[in-house]
This record gives sequence, C-alpha cells and structure tokens, in this order.
Amino acid sequence: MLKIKRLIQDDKQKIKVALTLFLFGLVILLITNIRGIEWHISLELLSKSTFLVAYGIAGFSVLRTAWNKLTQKDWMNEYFLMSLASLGALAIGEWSEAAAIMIFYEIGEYAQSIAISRSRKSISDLLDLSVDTCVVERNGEHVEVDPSEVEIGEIILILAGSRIPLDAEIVEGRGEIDTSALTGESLPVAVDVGDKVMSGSLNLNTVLRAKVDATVDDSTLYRIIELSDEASLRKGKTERLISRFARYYTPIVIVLAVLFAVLPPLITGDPFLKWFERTLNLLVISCPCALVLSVPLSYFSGLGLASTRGIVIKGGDVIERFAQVETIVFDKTGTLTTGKLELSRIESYTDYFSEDELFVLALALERGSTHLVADSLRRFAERLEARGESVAMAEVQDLEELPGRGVKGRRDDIVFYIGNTRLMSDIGLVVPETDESLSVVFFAMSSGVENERDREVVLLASFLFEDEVREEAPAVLRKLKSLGVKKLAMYSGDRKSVVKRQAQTLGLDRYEGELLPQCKLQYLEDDIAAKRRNRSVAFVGDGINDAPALSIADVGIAMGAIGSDAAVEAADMVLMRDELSAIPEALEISRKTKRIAIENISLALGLKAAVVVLSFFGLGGMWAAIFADVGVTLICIVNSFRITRGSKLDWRYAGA
Amino acid sequence: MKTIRLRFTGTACAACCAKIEDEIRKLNGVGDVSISVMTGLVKIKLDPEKKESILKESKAIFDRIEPSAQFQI
Repeated sequence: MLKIKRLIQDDKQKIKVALTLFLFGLVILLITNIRGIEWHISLELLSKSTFLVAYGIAGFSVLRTAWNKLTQKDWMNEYFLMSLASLGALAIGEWSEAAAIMIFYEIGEYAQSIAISRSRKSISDLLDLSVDTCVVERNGEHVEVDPSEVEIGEIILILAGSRIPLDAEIVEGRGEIDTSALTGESLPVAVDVGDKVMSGSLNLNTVLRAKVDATVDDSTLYRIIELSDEASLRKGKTERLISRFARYYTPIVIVLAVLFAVLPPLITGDPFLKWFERTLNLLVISCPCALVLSVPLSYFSGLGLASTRGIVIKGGDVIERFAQVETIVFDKTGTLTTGKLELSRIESYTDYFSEDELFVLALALERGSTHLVADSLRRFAERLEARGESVAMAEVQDLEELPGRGVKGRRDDIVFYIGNTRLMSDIGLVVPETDESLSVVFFAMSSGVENERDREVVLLASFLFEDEVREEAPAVLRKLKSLGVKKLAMYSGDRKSVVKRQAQTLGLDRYEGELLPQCKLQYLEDDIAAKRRNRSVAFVGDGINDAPALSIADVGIAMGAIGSDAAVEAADMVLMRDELSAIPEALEISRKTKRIAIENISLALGLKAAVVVLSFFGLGGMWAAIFADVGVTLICIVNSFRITRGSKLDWRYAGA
Repeated sequence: MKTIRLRFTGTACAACCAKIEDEIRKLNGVGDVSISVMTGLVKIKLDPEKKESILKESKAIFDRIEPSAQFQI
C-alpha cells in the first residue's frame, strides 16, 4: 500500500507506469481484433481493467484535489473539469480515452515543471559561481573564512584557478581573469595593481592580493543574482493580459460545453449521447495553464539568454518596451566614446605658475570629483609616478562641485576655477580659441575674494583632452539602423565642435553639444513626447550622474558597470559587458523573445479554437482534443527554449 | 506600506498563480502583490501591522488553490 502511495506522489514514476499499462491495454485491444484465435480469458475485460488501473494511477491526485476543492465549493478549476471529462468518458464506456485524458494531462503538467526548473538554471548557474570560503589576511596570518565575514578594506588572497569571492581592488600581483560568466566576454581580461575585479570572475593563473570593496550582499555577483530574480516579478503587458484572459477562459469553455450538451439536441432532436461526447472534448481543453505559462516562460528564457551575454534586463516589461524602440539617445561620453579622457596637453597663458604647478593644483582641485576630467588627471599622475617622477601635493580648501560647469576651490585668498566655457563666462572671462578637435577645460583664478571691486580674474591655462570614439561604434549604429531604429541621437555636455566632428563620423541623426544636465533631460523628454504610440525611447548612459535620464526614458540602459547604486536602481537594463554591441544584441533578444511569446499565444489559442470548431461538427473526437491540449503545452515549451537555443546572436562588430 | 519578499517551493500552475495573486491582493492591508511562476518569488506590499495575519491568510490561499506549491512564511 505504501508503495502505491509513493508511486502516486512521484510524477515521473506515475507517468511511466500509467503509460506502460495504457500501451499494454492498447495491445490487448489490438489482439482481440485478430480473428481465428480462441482465448480462454475475456480480453475485453483485461484491457478494460488495465485502462482502469492506469487511469487510477495517473488520475488519483487530480481526482482527490478536485474532490477537496469541491468540498470547498470551488468547482471552476482544471482539476474538476479534467475529472469530469474523464469520468464522463468512463460513463459512456470510453475506457482508453478516460485513461488517456489523465495520463496526458499529467504529462503536460510534468513537462511544465521540467520547463520551469530548466529555466531556473540561468539563476542557479550564477549561484554556483559564489564561493563558500575565502582567504583573508588578519594579523599577518592567512585565515580561511566565509566571505560574509570579510569586511570592506580587508586584504584577501585570490588563488590561481579560484573564483573571486568579493568585489576587490588588486594591490599586488598581475594576471588574467575570466569574466565570461558575468559579462559574456569569452576572452580573458588582463588585470594589474589598481584594477578592480568583480566577484564571480575566475582568477586564471596567478595569485592576486586584493583589497575588498564591497560586502557579499553588495558584490557584483549577488546584485546580478538579485536583479535576475526580481526580473521575474516585473511582468509585461502581454503576460498580464494573458493571466487576465485565463480568468475568463475556463468559465467560457464551461459555458460552451453546457451549450454543446443542451442546445443542439433540443433544436435538432439529435441524440443527447452524441453531443455529450462532443462536450467532453471541450472539457479536455479547459485548462489554460500552458497558455498562461508560455508567456513568462518565453520572457524568462529571454532574460536568461541576455544575462549569459552580460546584459542584465530588469523584467519582461523592459523586453516588451525595448522591442518597440524607435529612438535611442546616447549620452556621448563613456558610451559612444571610450570615456577615458586622455590628457593631450596643457596650454599655459601665465607666468605665475609653471606647467607642473598648474597640473598639481588642478589635481588637488579635482580631488573629490567623480568627473571624467578628474579621473583623467589622476590617471596621468599615476603614470608619472609609475615612471618614477614625483607628483607634489597642493593644499586647497573649500572644494565645491558646480554641476554642468566644473569645480572651484580656494587657497588663501585666491579662488581657483576649473571648468568649461560656461563657467568661464560666469566669472567674466572670454576664452581663447583652442584646438577644435579636442575637449577642453579651462583653469582660472580670481584674487581679492574679500572685495568684489578689487577682484581680478585671470585665465591660467587650458587642459586639452582626447575622448576617442569607440572603434565599434559606427558599425553598431549602422546595425541599429538596419534593425529599424528610426532615430539615433547624441546629447553631450562636451564642446560643440568635438560633438559635431564625432557625430559625423558616427552617422547620427541628431546631435547637440554644450548642454547642461537639465538641458539633456529636456531634449530627452521632447523625444519621449514626440514618439509614436506603442513605441519607445531608450537612453544609454555610462551610469555616472545620469540617473534622472535613465529613469525617465522608457528603457534606461546603464553601460559598463553595476557599480553605481543610483544608476542600477534607475536603469531598466545594465550592460555588464562594456561593449556597444550589447545594445543591438539586446534588441535582437528582446524582439525574438516577444515574437516567440506571441507565437506561443496564437498557437495555443488557435489549436484550442480548432478543437472547439471540430468538436461542433463531430470531427476529430476526443483523441484530437487530448493531443491538442498536451501538444500545445509541449510545442510552447519547445518554442520557448528556441529563444536560448541555436541563436545566431553571437556576432561582433569590432572592425566590421 | 512595506515590501516583503517570500518564496514558494515546488511548482505551481501558471493560471493558479494568477488566481492566488488576485486573492491575496483582495486581502485587507495588502497594497500589491506579484508572484513569479518561474522563480517562485512572492513580493507583497503590505501594512506591517497586519503582516502576520496577511501571511497566514496568504498561506491558506496557496494551500487551497495550489496544494503542490509550498508557501514558506
């Protein structure tokens, strides 16, 4: 007895046994049809009892659930309807059909659960990247601890061939790491002292010492896992529509079934039994689950595929909106350009300070800034030091960031300003012509702070930077155009001459330069207002100071880091792979996913409608209904997996 | 209103998840609810003072509509 109970609870086992019995029953039926042999037992009885046992094994839990629900006055569920259909089949002597209804219903359910757990693999694969132990240096000793016990600032040892446990900055050692699990980038990345490494990457062949940047929960790997998990909760329009439809689907089928059973016999005088059989067909297709599951299944497969390519999409709604993208707006620096401003030269206009002094002062003024200019100066200083030249420190006070303009700071009674043309004109300076092809910031000072009237403003120097267009950018933009994106725009705070030159190389539809942050937002809002119905506007930023734009765009895309909290929070899509080609790839994944979801819905509804029509004319019969029902489930599942399988999305643009 | 995240284990049918969502949403003190049939994640926005009773009722709803999924409080 215990064995039978265990059998009924194990889905796979249950299906196997019931199916075997069922086939056995069919064979017996065939044999009975062979004439000329006398059997000593009643074959008919044998086959009927085989079907009945198969029915019991496959259908027991459905019947029991149906009964439980019935006692709670809930009868509008698929358990009850399946029970009714199969019991009806038994009542009219269709033994094999009754067993088939239950067996194939269970097969369908089983296939769905397999599909769900297979899809969950994309998340569990990521979980597998997390490590349980890590080596940390404490009091001059190496201790093995759980990564969650390591604090920010501690030094960890990352052994060759091991996964990196926490986000960290290398302080000793150089080598190569494999980031493919996070970024989809298959080539190893060379890392050196000062480089940041992400948790979940694989340290390939050397020992690295690194300073921990983030706790486990804030580390890249966990944030990706969390985002992927959360993504399943954000449902697209299609998904919501289908679940709403499912609520009416079952009642509609029941009403149809009742009409089938009652109306035609009354009107035409046909025998009731004939229409009763047709009614049962309808009950067989009354379960909307495959239909409802097909949408989240497709979307989840799409999200999973994207994540293996280093594209973290925050939900099914994002997939839907991005598939309809009409305009893509780029914030130039760090997206279309590498974002690594290279200090090209300093043009001095003064005798007060030497070029070295100007540089040291500028470095001190930009000390607290996250702006690219500041980064660039710091990198330049590091390179000087690496070459063995010493970089002096300058003392400045009252540092203040002026958004969209630059920075200012004070030393004694002199105020220094570093910033763009706008900042210079604010303090009453007219700037000289500089090389038009380079980005520029000006360096000025004003003395006599105490007294407005005595104030003397002097332009000291201009710092010229190169911001290179990414090599793959023109090809990526062409690809986006060929995918049907109508408008590609670039809004930048950089000077107009540079923006114009770069825009022309890139082939953009629209570009604007010398924009304040609020103006960029205004332009973006205008684009959103101008879009056509059911279309969307995407904004691509490097995640630095562009959270407002990322959040107002229909699809906000943050490139190349999960570092900034605000950007990740505001964005709809985070590109872990710092490559522009991820954008057209994300577009193709979104479109493909959406197309397959719609295919699934049409297929499921179409086949079910066909059963209704065929049954009405007495065609097809119960077998057709059973196969239509399970067939839909299987086809939808296989179709969803087509998203991840055999995708020809693995192309590169670089050099194309 | 506070947002809490819970999980169910086992598998649930997709239509049932939609039904469960509907019923939990109707509970007193629930702002919104979202259930993922794919990951088993259940996110409920609720009045923290009524948390206990809401979770208990949610579990009852799960057990009634989809007995094969175990809602973990």
